[in-house]
Amino acid sequence: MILDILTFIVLGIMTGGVYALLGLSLNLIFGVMRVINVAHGEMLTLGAYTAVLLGIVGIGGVALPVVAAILVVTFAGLVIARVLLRPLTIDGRVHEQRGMVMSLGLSLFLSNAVLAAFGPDYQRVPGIMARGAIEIGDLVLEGQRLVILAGSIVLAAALMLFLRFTLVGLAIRAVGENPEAAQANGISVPRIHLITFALGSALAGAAGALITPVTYAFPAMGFNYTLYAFITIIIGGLGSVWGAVLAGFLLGIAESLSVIWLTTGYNAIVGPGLMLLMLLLRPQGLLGRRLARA
Amino acid sequence: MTAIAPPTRRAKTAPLLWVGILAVALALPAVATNNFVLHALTMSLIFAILAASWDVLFGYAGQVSFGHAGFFGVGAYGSAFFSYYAGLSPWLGLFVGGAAAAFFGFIVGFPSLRLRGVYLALATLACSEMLRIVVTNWVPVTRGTLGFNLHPGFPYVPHTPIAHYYVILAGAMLSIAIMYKFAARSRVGLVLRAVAADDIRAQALGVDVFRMKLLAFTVSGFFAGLAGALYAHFIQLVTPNETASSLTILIIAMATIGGVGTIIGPAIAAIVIHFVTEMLQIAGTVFDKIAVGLVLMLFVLFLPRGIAGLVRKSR
Amino acid sequence: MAQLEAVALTAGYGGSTILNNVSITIASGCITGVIGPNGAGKSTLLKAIMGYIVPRAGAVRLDGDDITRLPTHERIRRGIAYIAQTRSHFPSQTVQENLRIGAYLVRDRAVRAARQAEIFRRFPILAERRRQPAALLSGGQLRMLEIGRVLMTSPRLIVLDEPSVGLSPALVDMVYGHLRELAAGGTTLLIVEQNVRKLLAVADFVYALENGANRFEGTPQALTATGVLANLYLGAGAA
Repeated sequence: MILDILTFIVLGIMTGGVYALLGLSLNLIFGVMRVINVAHGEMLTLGAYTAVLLGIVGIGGVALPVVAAILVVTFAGLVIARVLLRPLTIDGRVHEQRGMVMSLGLSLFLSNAVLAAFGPDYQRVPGIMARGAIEIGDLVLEGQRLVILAGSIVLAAALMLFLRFTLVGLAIRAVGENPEAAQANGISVPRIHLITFALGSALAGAAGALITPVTYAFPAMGFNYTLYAFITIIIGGLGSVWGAVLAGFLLGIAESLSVIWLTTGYNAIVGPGLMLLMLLLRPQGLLGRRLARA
Repeated sequence: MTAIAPPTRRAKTAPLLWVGILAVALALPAVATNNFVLHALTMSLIFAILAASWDVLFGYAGQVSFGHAGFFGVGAYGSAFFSYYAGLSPWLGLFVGGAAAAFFGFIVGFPSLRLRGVYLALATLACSEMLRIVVTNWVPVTRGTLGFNLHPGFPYVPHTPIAHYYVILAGAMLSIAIMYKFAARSRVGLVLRAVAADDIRAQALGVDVFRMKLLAFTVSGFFAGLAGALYAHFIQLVTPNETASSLTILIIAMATIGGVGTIIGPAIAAIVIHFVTEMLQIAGTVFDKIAVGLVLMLFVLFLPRGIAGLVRKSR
Repeated sequence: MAQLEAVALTAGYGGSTILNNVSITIASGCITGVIGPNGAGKSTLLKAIMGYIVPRAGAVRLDGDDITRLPTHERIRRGIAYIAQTRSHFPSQTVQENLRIGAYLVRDRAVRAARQAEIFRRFPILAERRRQPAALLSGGQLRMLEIGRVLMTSPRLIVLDEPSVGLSPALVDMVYGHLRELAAGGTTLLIVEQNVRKLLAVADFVYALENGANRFEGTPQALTATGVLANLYLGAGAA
């Protein structure tokens, strides 16, 4: 029994890593631009299919697909931010309603474009790199999942260090906090928006490339990840970096552990349920600062 | 986050126009004899009710709903269960489904007391998703992903596409007319819009803001559920797909393109969009939803007030 | 040293017009003041000068160059600095980070270090609290932070929107003392104020706005000599 619980917790930590990464990246975009990006999951889809494409050509492994995904999605993110979001930006913030509807359209467009290009079948990335597993006592940790966890942690840490210690990271935080004052200091708010959106999207794309060896890729996969990204930042608190990390892992563990009481399938209710609970009881999340009456 | 309807002006040309539209709608089956075409038209009408119901909640009451698929699903499953497990007439089932969805809307509307904007949207999404998960997994009752198909179709109605078309046409015209009257042409609707514009000020003026919001959720839920119930007995198969958020996204797209805050705009846009995309599918293209997404993005960029906004400007 | 002119500015938001054909000249090396009752258009004027809004008519010229349509961050690059009325800082960043943002356009590390040292010398309290979030600073300390932040770029012209608001008289004196020092050092200042008395004491030249139009311009002495002040704030017909 204890072993089961431990196994579930470990599994939860592994999925939690991806949630944390998704939450962090969405938080970045929302925190700076205030756009509700319903298409965030589609950035992950793009990254996943980049890995699929590479797999078809025979390129596997971890590093290359992830790097390729980052490049592809960075480019996509820049285009999206420049063409679709900048026209909707006033006073350093994206128009809330129009931005959301725009991202809805983008989500519709991208997920169906992927469907048109690759077909509805589930795609697996052939040639899984890290086979085998590590065994700690009776606990079995799948190698590939460990790679995903490690990758998530590395990327998340890189983002957090970037935001904390570089000048551009400081500028991003400044624009998120007070765009007018940032502008008054010579920071080009439109350019920071581009960088932020590209960065956030690229991370989602990287997550997509990371998970494909374990999860199947299918065109509509994005929406669920978008949902979980939102669940993560609501639980963690909009605007809180550590909140997103904490919430991501908590969510993964909770969802995994709940299989003990709810059968697989029903346990998917934990995510939305926790988000609803948080919204009703404490809308600012565990570590968030902003109020619901934004 | 608001997108409230501007004050409506008395439309002088309206009555004649509506008579004309009614005539066309009634005569349509004579022209469109192909069963597939009729089927697509009928489904379009259901979408019209859905889009209009979403507009009531957002365009008039200013409440964002990401959970409309949930209302639709409750109405569909509700009516199906009612007519199967309780053995009563689907005609009654329509209202039961609608009422169930209205109740669901009432519950979902509770968070609107303290939440707004993205927070409210996410709360409604959570409710809708939770419903979907229950419906997908409660196999003994709902038959899960297989779909529920044990319930009857409309009694006393021949099971032909033409008959179904007229039944649903009636349902759609009634529903949309009622919603329009409620939101755009009544005192209640006016109060709703005041709440949407500035609920703090409305409260200061003595409006029970919370009750108004709940009312909007309930009414919107009822009609979305009615659409679901009509769907259930028309198609005679209800699957968890009907509660999936992709449906909500489609509805929001239709409402936005039609023009939020006009009820009629979203309804017409829904009909056109669904019908066109269905027809495109016969032509063998898979680009229908891609086109809708693209069109939506273009509209947000260049025609944010939708087609209805364009019409209004040209007046 | 910088000279800025706003020529025949007409500007507003949405459908309304706030400024109507307003012209002011900020002479190089001087302290120029703008006063006027609420709604006179002072903030709108500053926004047009800083580039937060684009005027419908008229021009803004810096040392003769037309900057009317130049984006804000470009104007900063040319040596204009802006201290807004409220929230001109970043509460969740540390004092040091706030200053670093102020020096965003300053590439030379040595120059940044030198200026930061100078600012810490001028405002010792900032040095003391360099690693604390700006949210913990008091009102007066925040003003100091904002001035310090602005000084990191060594601007030629500083635009201030109501620097005395929310401060006690002693703090206002302190702030104005620093402003006077800056002007003496050659920096051009444009100050919009509600605290008319304080402004008149330091300004070299004053403009009065009323209902979005020029009402008076001249030296502080000339202004007090006429009855304009009373009319401005108490309505026509007052003594």
